[in-house]
Amino acid sequence: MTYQVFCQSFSPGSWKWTSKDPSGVGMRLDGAFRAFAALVNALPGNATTPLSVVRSHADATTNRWGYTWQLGHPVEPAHLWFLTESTTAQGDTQSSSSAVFGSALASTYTSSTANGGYGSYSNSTGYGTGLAYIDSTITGATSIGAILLIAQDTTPGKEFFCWTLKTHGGNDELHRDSCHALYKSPGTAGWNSIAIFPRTSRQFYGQMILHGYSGNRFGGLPSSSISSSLHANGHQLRSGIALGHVDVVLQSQGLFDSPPPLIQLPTPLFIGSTSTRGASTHFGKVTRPDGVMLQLGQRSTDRDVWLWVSTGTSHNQASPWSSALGLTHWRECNELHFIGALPPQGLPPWGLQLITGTADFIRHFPPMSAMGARQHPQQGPLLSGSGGGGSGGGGGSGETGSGSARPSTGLLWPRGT
Amino acid sequence: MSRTLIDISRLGTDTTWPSVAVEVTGYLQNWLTAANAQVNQHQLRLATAPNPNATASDPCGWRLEATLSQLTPGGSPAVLILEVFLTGNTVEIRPGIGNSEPFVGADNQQGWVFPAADVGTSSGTWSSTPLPLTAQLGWSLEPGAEYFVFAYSQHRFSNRQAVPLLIARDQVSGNWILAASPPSTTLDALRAVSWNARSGQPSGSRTLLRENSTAPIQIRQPAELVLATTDWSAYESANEPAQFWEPLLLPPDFAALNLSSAAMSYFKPPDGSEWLAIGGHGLLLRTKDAAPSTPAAP
Repeated sequence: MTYQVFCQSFSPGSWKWTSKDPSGVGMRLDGAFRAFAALVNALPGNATTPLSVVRSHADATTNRWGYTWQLGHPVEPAHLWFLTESTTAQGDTQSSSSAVFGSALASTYTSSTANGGYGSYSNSTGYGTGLAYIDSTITGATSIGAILLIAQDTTPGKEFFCWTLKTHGGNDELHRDSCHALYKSPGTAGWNSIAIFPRTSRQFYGQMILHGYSGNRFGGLPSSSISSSLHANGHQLRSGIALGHVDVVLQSQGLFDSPPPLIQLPTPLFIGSTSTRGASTHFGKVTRPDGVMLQLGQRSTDRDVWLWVSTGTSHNQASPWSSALGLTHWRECNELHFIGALPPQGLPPWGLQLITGTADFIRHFPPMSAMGARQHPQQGPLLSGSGGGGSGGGGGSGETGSGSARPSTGLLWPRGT
Repeated sequence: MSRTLIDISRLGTDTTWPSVAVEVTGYLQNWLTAANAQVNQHQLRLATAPNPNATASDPCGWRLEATLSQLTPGGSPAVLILEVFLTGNTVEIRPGIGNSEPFVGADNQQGWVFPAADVGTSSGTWSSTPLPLTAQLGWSLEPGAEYFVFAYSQHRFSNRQAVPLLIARDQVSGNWILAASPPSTTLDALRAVSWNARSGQPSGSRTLLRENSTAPIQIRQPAELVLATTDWSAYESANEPAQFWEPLLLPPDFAALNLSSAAMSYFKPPDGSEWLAIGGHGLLLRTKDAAPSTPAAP
């Protein structure tokens, strides 16, 4: 049973994100992640990239609650964390939190009880975000229930772990169903991450935060490919889009020997724009003959995210985990376009490659220059004595101008002859 | 070698659109015959060829049709349509889907509808002053990756660079994609039409998937067309069911570049492949394959 979707419900009035209760949402999430990590770490392909838990709700000492996970890597392990930092109004009421989604290299970490038990980093990146309805024991939120939904795949090469916290009840505008997934992509061995925090009319921040490995390098990934892949105003959600790991400046470790591969987002997740109407703002469902699409995120001015659950998907988790399709909260939705991933055969040798992500490593020969014309497969050979240039991929001697048979007089260039 | 790239460039004083279009059509017809013999999902047809005697104000260009094996509700084969006509100084591209074969009339139930509300016509400008014309024809009969492409550039700005004909196999469905990109600086001026097996309806596109031009220059492969779909939520009463689509992918001899104004540029990325920029909308045509791949980095 490799691809599984399962969930656990927490009743209104009793659930708390800010809790170490073993049956509470935080420790249930921790347990699910540890179980997933144990399964995938045992796969031969993950021998050098094991997942581990650095901190969990159990380590919280003061006002921080959440997790820090380590993405194993033979050269440069990295940490990702999601921590609520207080119950200040990030949404619109005291029931909301301020929170941070952060990343750092593991080598910058000091394991201590600082920062509410979560330790400190000498160099890290954080995004301010939040959970709405952080728990239902707070005044004003007692009618709010929560669902922790997990989707995971332990198929070698397609490893995927996604958790979503969905709240229900109360003011619909205040919900903020967030999602964080770790996944593997063809072309790179390290783990990649996507976190989506929607932004509704009552929230200040919405984010889609992408991280990943290209070779030995861990870092943020640009989200512009996702925007580019969606037709404006098309009400589209897109799966499996490929992200380019680009460097705006040269990296300190030197040049890339080969172009960085694209990182492909996990195919079960459909990400896009649903900012307008629907039967539900955050419990949407689309039933198809071959499966069901479930809304993990929320109608948002940032990004929404949906999960494909193909027919026959089940789970082997013990109670109180249960089937996500059994929830009564889902509402059938229409007027959406779901665009699938590249087909499986769309993989290398011919697919999914960013030929280079860095301008410095593309040699660009504009046709308006003599040098460029000499390289051109058709114009190059027309130049007298073009030597190795042109002819559909000659040697490139045109770069240095060698092989030139220029007349010896009457020229501006070369000078002095 | 089943791939061909030829140069049909000419001096500006020698260039008229009808003469160029007629030359292109000669190659196109040969390729069409071979492609039809090789691919049986759609039957390609050149319904209207350029008129060699067109005057400056006569429409002159191509009307291509691809007859599908899928039938319309009326029981006729559906047909993909692409029209590329120069009239005066305007190159207009009209993609569509016909509900009957042969086409009997415009924009009615028996006639021709656009694949989605967002895929309409697109146009650009042909310069009739005697600018030099650099132009290429490329084609391939590589099974599964067949294509025919015609591209030209009248000057270095992308408002005179076009890919007036691009016929290529969709790498997902195997159906033909009929596409054209006009001489225009409009970012999403390209038009494409194909048939989406997953949603059981025609699909269209207005742009290649490529990064924003402010991102570092990058060559992206496979070259993918962004699907243009209708935002049904704008219509209160439409109540359209959610639809599922597969992406549209051009054959591996194409890639997307996040630059415009690049026609005739030549690119040599470090993997050994070489690419010729065609048109003004970021399409690259491969002229040399990558060196045998090295093992992927960890």
